[in-house]
Amino acid sequence: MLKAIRKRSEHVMTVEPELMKRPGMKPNAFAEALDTRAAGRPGRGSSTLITISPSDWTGHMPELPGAVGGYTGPGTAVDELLLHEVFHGLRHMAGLRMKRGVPGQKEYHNFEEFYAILIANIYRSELGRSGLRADHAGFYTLGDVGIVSQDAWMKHKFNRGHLRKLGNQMPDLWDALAKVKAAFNPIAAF
Amino acid sequence: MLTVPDVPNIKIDGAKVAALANQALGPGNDTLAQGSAGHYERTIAALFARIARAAQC
Repeated sequence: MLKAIRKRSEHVMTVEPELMKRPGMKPNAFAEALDTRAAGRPGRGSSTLITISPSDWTGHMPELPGAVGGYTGPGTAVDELLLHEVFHGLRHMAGLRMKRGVPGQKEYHNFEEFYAILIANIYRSELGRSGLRADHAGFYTLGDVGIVSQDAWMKHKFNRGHLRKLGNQMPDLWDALAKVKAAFNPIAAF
Repeated sequence: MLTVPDVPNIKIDGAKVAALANQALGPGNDTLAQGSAGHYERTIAALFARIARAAQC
């Protein structure tokens, strides 16, 4: 993925801290295209801004100072969060941003979240962490929503079609992901 | 500001941390404020390094 970002040398990905938190407010992280129209136009693309504060999140990075967190579950480890947002940013840079909802799976909110969660789940599985994030409505697991295997995920709703679309949009990344050895890797199994 | 090794178009910018620290600490604490910004930048760089070690990245 970092290679794919480097190839988009006409655009810049900037990472900044999230400083808008107030006491009692849940943490969040964002990826925002600087040119939202160009971010959805292949061949154009946009620079992007990632906003994330590692100290807001818990898990897997105990050496980070001030880790307080507000969420637990798959997808809340700061490296996974950063990867999730970086993938959004890469899609902005490539002009592939799709704000459409995922048919029959409104909990993902849109295709960008579907793909970012997929990528972070493969990374999570590669590292041997237990549980996979279900969707973008929270940080509960695929098992919590009754999807108990990779095969079940592949057969769920239109997931195979969504995978095919990703492969068509990002063939180089697809080839790299297909080589990743992980218990959960629908791209390798496609 | 830091860049990610081998990916020069990723910039890690802790300037907002320094600005917040300056606001909180008042004048004369630039070194501490800049140190806070540097800490943020190094933390994010460490996360990128962790991600880069994964096969897909």
